[in-house]
Amino acid sequence: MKEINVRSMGVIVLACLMAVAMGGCSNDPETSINPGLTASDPSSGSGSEITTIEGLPEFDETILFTEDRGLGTIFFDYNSYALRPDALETLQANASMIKNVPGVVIQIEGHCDERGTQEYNLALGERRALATREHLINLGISGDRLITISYGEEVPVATGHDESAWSQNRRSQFNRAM
Amino acid sequence: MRSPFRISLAVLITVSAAWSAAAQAPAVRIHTEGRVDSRIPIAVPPFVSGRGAQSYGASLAAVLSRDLDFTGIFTIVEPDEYPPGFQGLQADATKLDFNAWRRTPAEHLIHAALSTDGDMVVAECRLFDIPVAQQVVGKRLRTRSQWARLLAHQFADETVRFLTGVAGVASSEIVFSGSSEITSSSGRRRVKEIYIADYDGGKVTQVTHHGSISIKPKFSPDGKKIAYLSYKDRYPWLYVYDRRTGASTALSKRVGLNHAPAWSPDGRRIALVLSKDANTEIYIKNTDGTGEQRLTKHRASDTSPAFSPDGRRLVFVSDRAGRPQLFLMRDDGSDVRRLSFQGGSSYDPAWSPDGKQIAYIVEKDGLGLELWMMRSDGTGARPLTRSMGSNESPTWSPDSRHIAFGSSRAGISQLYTVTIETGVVRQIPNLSHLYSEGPSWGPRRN
Repeated sequence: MKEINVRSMGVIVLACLMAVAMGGCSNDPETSINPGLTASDPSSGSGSEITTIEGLPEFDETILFTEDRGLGTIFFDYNSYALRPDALETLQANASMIKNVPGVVIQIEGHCDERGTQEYNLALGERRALATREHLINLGISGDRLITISYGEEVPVATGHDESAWSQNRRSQFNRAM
Repeated sequence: MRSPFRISLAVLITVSAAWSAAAQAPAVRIHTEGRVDSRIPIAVPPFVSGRGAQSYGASLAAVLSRDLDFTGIFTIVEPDEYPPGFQGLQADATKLDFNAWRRTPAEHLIHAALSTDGDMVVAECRLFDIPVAQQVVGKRLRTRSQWARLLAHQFADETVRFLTGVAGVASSEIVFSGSSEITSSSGRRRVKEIYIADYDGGKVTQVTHHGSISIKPKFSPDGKKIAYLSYKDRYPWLYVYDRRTGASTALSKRVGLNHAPAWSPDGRRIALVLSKDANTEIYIKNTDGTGEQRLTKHRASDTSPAFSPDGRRLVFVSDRAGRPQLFLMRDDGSDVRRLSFQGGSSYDPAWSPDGKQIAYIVEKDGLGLELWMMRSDGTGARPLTRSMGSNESPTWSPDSRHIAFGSSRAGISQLYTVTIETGVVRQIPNLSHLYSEGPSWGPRRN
C-alpha cells in the first residue's frame, strides 16, 4: 500500500464505493479481499470480454489511520477541551473522509499532557474525545460510528517536559474501533 | 501487674487528650519535664531470637525502630548510648537492668523475644517504662513466617496506642500502580500493574498481571478488596480485585470512561465517574453492581469524588466555575457548594478519616502540582509541599496523621509521605525499582 499517494485517495475511495455496491470491501484488513473490480472494455465493442483494471490497488480503509494520509490529529490548549480553529479545519477534512467509508467505526482517543493530575487527566481526555465526537456528529457523521476512549496522560507521543512536548500530547487522535 | 502504673497512665491519657485537641506540636512530656525535644526517647535493641528465629531478631527490631521513628513521636536511642557493656537482651525480661538503663537517654525500652512454632513465628513483646521500672504493655503475637514483619508493625502500633491513645499505622498497607517495561513479541513496552506493600515499602506484592495499563487502585475500607481502572479489556473499565479469591471482576463497563472509584466508608457503595451520558459525571452504585444513580447534572466536567467519613457527603472536582476546583455535595447530589478558592486549579481531594481535613492538589500557572490541606469547611488552606515536581494523588493514613502521595520530584514517579505535625517528607523506601504512582492507604491489620 506504500505506493499510494494522496491524489489516488479519491480514486481508491471511489473504487471502494463501487466495491461496496458490488457487495465487496471487507472491514477486516487481514482478510481484505480484492474488490474484484471488473469492467467491460467499452472500446472493444464486445460485452463479453472481462478485463481486470491494472494499477488500482485494492482499497484498505486502514489508510484512514495512517499518520500522513489518514484522519488528522487535533490539538488542544492547556487544560481545555474547546476545539481550536485549526482543530475545526482538521475535523472538517476528517468528516469528509469518514463519510466516504461508511461502515467503519472510528475510535476517538483523548490524550493530555503530563500537567494536571493523572486522575483529572483521564476525565479531561474523555472530555476532549467527547467534544471531538460531538463536532463530527454536527458535521453529519452518525454517532453510532464514533466511540470515545480517554487515555489521560498515559500515552504521550512526545516525552519531553516542556511546552513543545505538551502541545503535541494534548490531542484527539483517531483509530479504528475494534 | 499494672497497678503501680495506673497513676502514670492517667497522666498519659490526659496528655494525649490535650495533644489531640491541639493537633499541632505534640507536647508529650512524660517524665523529663526539662527535655528540650518533646519526642519520647525509646530503645529498641535486637530481639531475643530463639531456635529457628535467628534470622528475624535484628531485622524485626530495625523494622520496629523505623516504625516508631516514622510517627514523629519518638526519638530512637542509638546503640552507642546503651548501657556500657550491654550484651543484648536476655530472654528473661525480668532480668532487665533498669538501673543501667536509667543512666541512658532512654525512657522506654522494647523487649521482644522471638520463637518459631512450625511455620509460625511467635513474638512476645513488652514495652518497659524505664524510670518506673515497669512493664506497661505486653503482647504475644503470632503469624506465618512470611508475614514476620507484621509482628514488628503490630507492636509498634500497640506502643503508639499506649503512649498517645491512638494506635499507630505501621500495620497498614499501601496499594499503588507501578510501571515497568516488559518485552513481548511486539517489542518492549511499558505496562502498569497494581502492587501492594507494607506502608513502609516492605513486602511488595504484585497484584495484577494484566500486561496493560492498570492504575488508580483504591483499597476498600476493610482492606480486602481493591477497585482500580484497567485497560486490560481495551477500554477504561473499573474492576474490583478480591484479595481472598485473587480474582478481578468488572464493576463498571459502561460505554466511555469508567473511572475514579471511591468506596463509601461502610464499603457498600462506590462513587465513580462515567461518561456514558456524553459528559463526565459522578454516579453512585452499590458494590454488588446494583442501584446505579447519577449525582451530578451539570454540563461542566465533574470528577474525582471522595466520601466524607460519615458517608453523607462527597467532595469532588468540577470546572463549572472555570478552572477545576473542589466542590461539596450530599450523597444524593443535592446541596452543591464550592469549597476551594485557591488560584489555579485544584484536584484529587481526599477526606481525612477523622473528618477534619481535606488534602488536595493545587496547580498554579507555571508551577508544579503541590499538595495542600484545608479544614473540611474550606478554611485554613495551606501547602504541605514546596517542590518543583509534580505531587499528586494524596491518601490519608488511618490515624489522619500522615498523607502518602506520588511525586516526580526525583525525576521519576515515586511514593512519599508527609507527617502533618512535623511537615517531614519521606520517600517510601524499597519501591525505587518501580515507577510508583497513585497510592491508596489501607487499614491497619489486626
